[in-house]
Amino acid sequence: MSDTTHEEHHDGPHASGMWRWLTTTNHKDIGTLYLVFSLIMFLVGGTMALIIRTELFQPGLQLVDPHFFNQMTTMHALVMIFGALMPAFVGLANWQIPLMVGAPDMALPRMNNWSFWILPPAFLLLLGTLFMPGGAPAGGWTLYPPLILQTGDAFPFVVFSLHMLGASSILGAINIIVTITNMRAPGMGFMKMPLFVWTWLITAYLLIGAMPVLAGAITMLLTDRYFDTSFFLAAGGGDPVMFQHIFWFFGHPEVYILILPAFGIISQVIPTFSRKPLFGYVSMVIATSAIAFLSYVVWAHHMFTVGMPAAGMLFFMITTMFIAVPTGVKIFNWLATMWRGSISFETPMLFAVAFVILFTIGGFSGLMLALVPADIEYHDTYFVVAHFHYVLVPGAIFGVIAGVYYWLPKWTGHMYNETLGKWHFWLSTIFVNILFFPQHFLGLASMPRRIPDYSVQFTEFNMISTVGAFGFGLSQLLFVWMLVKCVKGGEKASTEVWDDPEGLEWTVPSPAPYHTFETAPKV
Amino acid sequence: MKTGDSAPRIVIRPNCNFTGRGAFWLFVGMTLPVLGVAVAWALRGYWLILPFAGLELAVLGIALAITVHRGRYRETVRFGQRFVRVRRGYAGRQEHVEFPRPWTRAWIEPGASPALPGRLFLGAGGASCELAACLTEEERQSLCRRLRELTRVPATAQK
Repeated sequence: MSDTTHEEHHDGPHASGMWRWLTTTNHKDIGTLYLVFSLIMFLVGGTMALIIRTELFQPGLQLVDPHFFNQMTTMHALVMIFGALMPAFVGLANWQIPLMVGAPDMALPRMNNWSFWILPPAFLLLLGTLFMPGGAPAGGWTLYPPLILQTGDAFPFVVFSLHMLGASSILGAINIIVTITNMRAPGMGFMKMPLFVWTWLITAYLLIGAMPVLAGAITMLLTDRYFDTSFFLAAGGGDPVMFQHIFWFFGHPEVYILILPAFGIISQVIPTFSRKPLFGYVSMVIATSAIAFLSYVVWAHHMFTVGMPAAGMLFFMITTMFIAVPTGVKIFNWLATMWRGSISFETPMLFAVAFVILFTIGGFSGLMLALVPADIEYHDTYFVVAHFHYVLVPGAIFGVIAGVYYWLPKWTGHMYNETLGKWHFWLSTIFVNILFFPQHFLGLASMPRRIPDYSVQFTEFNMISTVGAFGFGLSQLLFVWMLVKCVKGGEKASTEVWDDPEGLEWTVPSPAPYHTFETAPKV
Repeated sequence: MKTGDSAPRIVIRPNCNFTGRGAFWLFVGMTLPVLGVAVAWALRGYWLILPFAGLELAVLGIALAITVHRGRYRETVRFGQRFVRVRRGYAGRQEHVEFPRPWTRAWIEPGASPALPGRLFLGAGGASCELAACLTEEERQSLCRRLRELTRVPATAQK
């Protein structure tokens, strides 16, 4: 009798070429797929941003018509959120979580494969709507009815693609929860898990809580449009404002889904380059949990202007301001970690420090927006655009970039070019501020968001912002070039890569073997 | 992996942090908020969130059930006076294999490439069964040494 009982993920990359990538169940392969997909979507979404900024370079309509401009703002957001940022974090999770908890792979490798391969067709569908009669959705990524119901033939395709993206996220989240809770190395209790793992565990909970709400909301839009229901149609007795409530009940946790894993990455990077353990590990875990909890009770701060009872506004204002407390705990803990550390400024650390400073700016403008009387003035202006872009670009995206630089030598076995990395950092940091900081002033001067044309008094700041956009966009080409260079070759990376970093991922060789932890990890 | 010299018996099981009860409480912990939210919206008339929440929880439940089930996989190797008995599988669905002890050998076949894990076999007279696929390479090597000691096969013998 001869028998084989190997799990599917114990098989090696027996297939080659495209078939290997289609059928792989290896967490490293799937992590790579997610990261490459995310990079492509980042460039697609970035190109849309450049179209928007080019149109806004000067007042008047010169490049695109207003309807296409609105399609660009909508699609830019959907592509960046669901195509670039979320897959980037899932890619990092796929690569790092099994390495960090000492597991040989994700708990459900086949499901992992499906959750990735749902993404490309979903985005083909979403991007394909640009070429359909009536064009892509143009009502904003928030899909508010009744405006979004005016979308042309593309509408059901948008809904279906969002369903697919949601399904992908849910499958990924379930896999991450099961992997973390079930497959930790012996001795690794919850309070010994790296912060990146903790933040992803909490993010996965948020995803599972939020995604059905989005799925239900967009399905109700679909039935309102095609099946004569009136969930959100005032003419039939429905309530369009309730869509906003439902959407933001998903949407605000979604914001934290986009930032919590970045917190985790920064919590890994700063201690390594400060050569000190993370200050206040337990308080970091508690703060992350508190942020996640609060994210479910602040949603209506996005809609103070819809007309809400004063008590309601007060509640949402106060709960929103509460979020500053755990977030402040994190910021101070990162500063305390750096305090009197033996700091060196390699590229991941530079991005991490920029993250702490620039995310704090985004956090402070968020606090300004939390104030009801101020928000009524700022609502739907460029101040809001500046706020969330500070949170998501030098916040979430810088977090991803810091993570990529930090773990890239472990993935590829090669050191990236540090000089180019620093050029990438400085160009990105300078241009991201040129891009988004003037938008605060535009908003304070009441320039509305989502308009292709504007009054002439806003010209100078818009011109500066557009110059920043092109500078930032071109800087990212440097990043792409450097990634390709690092994958192809370069100085060999050691097992530890950095100076005495903490974590199980640094105990395996660089590049991490296709199957890790063939020797039992010690925790 | 558990071994005992007085009663030569080796039990091999995968690394699994979950117990059935732990998985149940994790599921309950997820179900209450997700269903709570969906029911709250449904009570206001927005019932279409409910089926999606249910579907999601069903997938979560299945994922947890699969994981708990996989964690119950056991391989037991008993060393009698004349026979080595291998029992492997899940509770209630176990297969038995028996080899004559004096002829039983344990060996590791290397992976198809250096990056792939080796495979541990126990067998005699042309019949064999694979063991310890759920263990790490180091544990597999250590188990192989122990099996060779117990089957009294010289360490140098390889298939």
